[in-house]
Amino acid sequence: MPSLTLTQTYHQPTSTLTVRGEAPLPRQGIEASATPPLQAIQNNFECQLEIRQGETTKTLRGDSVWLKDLITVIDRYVGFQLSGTPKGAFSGTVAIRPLDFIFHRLTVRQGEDRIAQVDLSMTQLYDLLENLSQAAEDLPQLDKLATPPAPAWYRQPPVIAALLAGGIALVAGVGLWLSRRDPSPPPSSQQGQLTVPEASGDPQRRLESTLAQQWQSPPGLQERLVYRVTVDGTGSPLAAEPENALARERRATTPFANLPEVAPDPLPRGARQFRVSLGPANQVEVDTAE
Amino acid sequence: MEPKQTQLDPQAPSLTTATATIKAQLDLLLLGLESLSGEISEAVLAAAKTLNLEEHLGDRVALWRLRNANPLRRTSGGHKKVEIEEARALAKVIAYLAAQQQARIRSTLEQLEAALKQELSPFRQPLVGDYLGEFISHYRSRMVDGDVRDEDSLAELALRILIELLFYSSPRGAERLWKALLSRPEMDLPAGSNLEEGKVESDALPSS
Repeated sequence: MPSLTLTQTYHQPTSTLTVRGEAPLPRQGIEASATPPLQAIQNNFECQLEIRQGETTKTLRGDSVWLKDLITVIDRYVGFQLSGTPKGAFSGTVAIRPLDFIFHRLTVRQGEDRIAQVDLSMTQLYDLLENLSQAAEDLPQLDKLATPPAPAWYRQPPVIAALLAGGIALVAGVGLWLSRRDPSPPPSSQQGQLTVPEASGDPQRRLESTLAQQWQSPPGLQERLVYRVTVDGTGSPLAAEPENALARERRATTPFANLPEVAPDPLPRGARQFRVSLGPANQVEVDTAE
Repeated sequence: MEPKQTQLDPQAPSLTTATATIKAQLDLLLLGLESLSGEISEAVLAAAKTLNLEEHLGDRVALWRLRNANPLRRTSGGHKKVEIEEARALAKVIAYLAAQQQARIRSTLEQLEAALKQELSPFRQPLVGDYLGEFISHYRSRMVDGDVRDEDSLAELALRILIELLFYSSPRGAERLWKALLSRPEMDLPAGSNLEEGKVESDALPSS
C-alpha cells in the first residue's frame, strides 16, 4: 500500500524532538489536498531527541516504545518533583534520578549495545517535558504502533533500574551552598553538599561489595573471568567488557549478564573503570583499570 | 522523618474543601510570584477577571481571605475554610500569572543553574539574589515560623517554589499544579500555627 512519510518537530530552547513515521497515502480528491495529521502514522515510527548543552548537542534516538517510555517516565518524575517527593523513575528503556537540588541524570537505552546518559538542569528538564507532552497529545496512537523486534535484554526494567542505584529516594538539599555568610570558595561537591548521600562512598569498594554478594562461581570453573567494568559515581555498573575468551563465553552466568559491553560515550561525570576478576570459589578482585 | 501521606485520592470527588497543605502551597506560590514582580493583588484580580473566575476571586477581601487561610500565616488562618472550587480558581490564576512571568522565572533559574555549576553562591547572582531576598523577607514577616527558620532553609524553600513556578508557567501549568496539589503529602506544620501536627482540621477532611 502506498504510504506517506509524516514528520513533526517540537522546539524548546534547549531541546528539539522530531518524530517521523509512515501513514497510508490519502485517496485522491479533497482528502489528498490536506496533509494528514500525525495521528495517521501507522508504521516505521522513529524519533530523535536533541538536547543542547552549551555548545554541544546530545542526540538520542528511539522507536515508539522508547518514546512512550520517555514520555511516561519524565511525566512521572516531574510529578514526584512537583508534589514535593522527589525520587527516581524508570521504565524498560529509560531511567532518571535526581543528582541534587537542580540537576538530574537521564539514562536511556540506545540500540542493543549502548547506554546514553545526559545530565539535565531544571530548565532542560522543563523543555524536555514540554516537547514530550506536546508529542503525547499529537500521537494518541503511540501505544498501538508496531515495534521492531528487539533482543530480550533490551527492555529489561531491572537493568535500567539498576542505574538508579544510589539516588532513587534521596536528594541532597542546597545546604551550605546558599549561605551568603561564606565569602570563601564553597566546598567542592565531593564534600557532600550537592551529591546524593549514597553516592559519597568509594565506587571501588561498593563495586567490590556488590560483586562479593552476587558472584557465585559455577562448579568446575578453574580459570578467572576478567572484565573491564565501567561504574558511575555511586559504584553501580554501567558496562562490562570481557577481557579474555572465557569471560566472554561465561558472561551470561555472571552479575554482568544484562549489562552492555560498550561503556557510555562520553563517560558520565564521576564514572570510573575497573578491572574485575571473577574466580573459582566465589573469588572477586577489583583493581583500577590501566 | 517521613512526611505524612495524605489520605486523599488525587481524583477524590468527595474533596469539598482545601487541605491545609493546599492552602499553604497556593499562598507560597503567590509569595514566589510576588517576590519576582512586587505587589501582586491587582494582577491576581485582573487575571481572575480574564479567566472568568470573579465568582471566587472578585475583590481584595476575597483574595485576602484565601491567602490568610494558609495555616503558616501569623494572621491565620488555618481554620478558615476554602472551598475546593476556590482553591482550583486560585491555582488557575497562579498558572496564568506564572505564564506571564515565564521569562523572568526562567532567567532567574538559568542564573541559579549557572551559579551552581560554577560553585558560586546564588545569593551573589543579581536575579537570584533579589528573588531570595524578597522571598525571605516576606516569609519572615508573614509566617509563623519566619523568625525561627534559618536562612538556608528559607532559601531552599524559595528556590523550590521558583522551580515549581517554571513548570506551572506552561500552557499545561494549571492542570499540572492541580494534580501536584492533590498528590502532595500532608505537611508538618510548625509550632505556633493554628493547625499543629496532631490537631485535625475538620474542613481539611474530605466529606464522606
